[in-house]
Amino acid sequence: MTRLLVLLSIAWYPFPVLAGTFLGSAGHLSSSCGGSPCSNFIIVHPVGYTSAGIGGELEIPICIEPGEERLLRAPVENAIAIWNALNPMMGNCRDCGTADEPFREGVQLLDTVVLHELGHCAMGLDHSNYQAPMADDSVNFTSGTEVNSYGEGADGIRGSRDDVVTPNPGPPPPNALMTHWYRLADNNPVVIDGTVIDATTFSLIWALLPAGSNWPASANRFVAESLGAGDDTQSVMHAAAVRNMLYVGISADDSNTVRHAMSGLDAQAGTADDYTIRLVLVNDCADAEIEVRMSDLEETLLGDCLADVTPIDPEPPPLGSVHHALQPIPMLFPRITVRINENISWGIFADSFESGDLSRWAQR
Amino acid sequence: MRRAVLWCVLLVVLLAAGGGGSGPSEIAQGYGYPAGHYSSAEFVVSDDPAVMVLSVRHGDRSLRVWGDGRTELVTGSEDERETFMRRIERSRLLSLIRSAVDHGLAEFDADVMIHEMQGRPRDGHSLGGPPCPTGSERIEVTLRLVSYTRDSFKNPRVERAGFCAPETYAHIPQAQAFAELAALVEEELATARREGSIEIRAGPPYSEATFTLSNDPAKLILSLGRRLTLHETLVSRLFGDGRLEMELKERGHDPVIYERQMSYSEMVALVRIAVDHGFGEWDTEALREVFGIVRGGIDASGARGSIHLETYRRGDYAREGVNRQFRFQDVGLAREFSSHVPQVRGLLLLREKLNAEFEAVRREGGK
Repeated sequence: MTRLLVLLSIAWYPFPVLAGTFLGSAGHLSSSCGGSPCSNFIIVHPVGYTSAGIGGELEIPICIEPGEERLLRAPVENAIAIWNALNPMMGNCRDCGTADEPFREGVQLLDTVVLHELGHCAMGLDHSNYQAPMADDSVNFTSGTEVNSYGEGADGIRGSRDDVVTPNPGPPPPNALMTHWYRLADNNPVVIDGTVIDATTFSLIWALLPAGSNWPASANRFVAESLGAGDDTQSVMHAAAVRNMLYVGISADDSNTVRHAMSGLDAQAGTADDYTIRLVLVNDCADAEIEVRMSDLEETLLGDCLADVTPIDPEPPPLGSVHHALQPIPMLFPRITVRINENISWGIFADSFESGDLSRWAQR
Repeated sequence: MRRAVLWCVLLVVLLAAGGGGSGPSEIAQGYGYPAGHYSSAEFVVSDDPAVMVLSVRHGDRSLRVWGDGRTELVTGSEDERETFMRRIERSRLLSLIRSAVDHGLAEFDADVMIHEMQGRPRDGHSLGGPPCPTGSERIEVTLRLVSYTRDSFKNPRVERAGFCAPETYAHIPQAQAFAELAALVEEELATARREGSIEIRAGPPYSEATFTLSNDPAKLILSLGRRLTLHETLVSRLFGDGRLEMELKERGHDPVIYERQMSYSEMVALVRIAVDHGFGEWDTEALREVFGIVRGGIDASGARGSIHLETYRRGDYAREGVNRQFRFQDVGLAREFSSHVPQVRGLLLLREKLNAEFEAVRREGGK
């Protein structure tokens, strides 16, 4: 049935293929997307990109809650620099850990969490890995919806291309749906080469997966190692609260997904609606689209991103809108908001990104 | 020990100044804020159960009070936490806030205050107040007033203020307010430890409902899945014979099942929490539309569960074979913005009760 739905998607969409996982597609924003449930087949653009599809530089002002600059400024500046560079790398993850590995001692690093949350709130990305719905526990398998169970496949690695997915029982639709975009040529989430990322090279269509693939591969460190990228390469958007883990850059999985959105409404690179993203730190939150703040959050989370998405297709396809843009949730906060849990004893990696000197960590 | 002595000294100073929450003190004189400077202020405090009117955080202790007086006290590290639910009477709440207002907390401006009172350059500190040697010494207060008026100063105040080591600044009225509120947390915590949490019943309309349960050992009566910590999830399942099964999944480990046998009355009391708060009539769409409680933040932690009743009746609303699935996409957000919704309060109570059951079984080492 999944194949049938996928083929219908091919027939109905004006472009056969469109890029990781975008917000909303995994069901997190179930009450959003213009009042109806989001399709899995969506692309989320940053706040400010509109149905006019005007290309060029998209500047996104970000502020820090007044009074919290001392703690947040360096992590926010680091995150902005990393996302602006959009420079994929191997070995981007120090003291790397995944959702499937046991809890370990140490401290949670603020830099890692701010980078991850801005991946949601500024870049429109969702988690690359799956969160089981009963209690929101993350696992290493690649994201999807309506999944009944996952199998590791022959390689014994979760999140790799040969994982076997069993859809939920019951009358279709819906059925198990992919939410993670993959490279058509090789379904490789860590490779860095000169491939131009747009609808001709990226897909969310199951039937077009390359030979040997059952499901999109996502960049967790075990998958990366199996693909020759070392066990210190991982997607920043892999959901896992791992102590001491520090991202010093982004993976190809992260970069490709953002670049795919940057190919604009036509999903074709090199056309007039292509855009680039420039995150800018501003002093006055009245001038900002995104605010980063410390908040009294539940002990079960490090931080969160409060944002909604709104459809922006000039002519929505029959199965629902594909293109969406981030926007605030006005009933909660006037701006898109990253909240960092003030109840956590944070480790701060204030500088030394260039040298990788971890000895200069400070603890709040 | 030194810290305790300092607190005692400060409290003696407060009492000597007619403190204890009754008004501004003489020791404010000489710093541009004569005694009574703020006491002409008039203010209104919400009585809305959904509005948090006061929160105080000091080190690993925190107190939050809502408009109806419901009070949550939390202490301990993220790995080992104590939580108590209490209630502060309205008159006492108003008296506490009166004292804070009289000490100028509603007009707190750390930069201005430090500049004017200590002659330090304004750039020397962040807006959050004087720097603390360690985070644990910082006192953070949120005072949320519907309205606030003092002479020409007329602004509804939604204040969040931080201060460090008020004993060092005992001559500053606002510091006294911080110290008083920190002392309040200690006092309330001591009472809560002595007396325990109080039961907060939902009241009408749902508490009028009656219900019957299956006694089939294979029949699921109530379930609730949620994150327990950053690296653990817990799914609790109550069956018809009173067996409470608790499945703990720690990241990177196989699930572990804990069990406890509940008596019939314990079982009914547990289900009663859910029924009292409207879970027997759960309607996801209606709740989503009216309260938006299903919507959540990305990275939020949610809760999901089900309730199964043989019969349910509330007035003219009567059903047999009730099977309701419920989900909160973001428990924290629901707590913060929708605590007036009975189902949200029910979820928090249910979670607290089931977490306590689990902790008790785990402490005993039982499975």
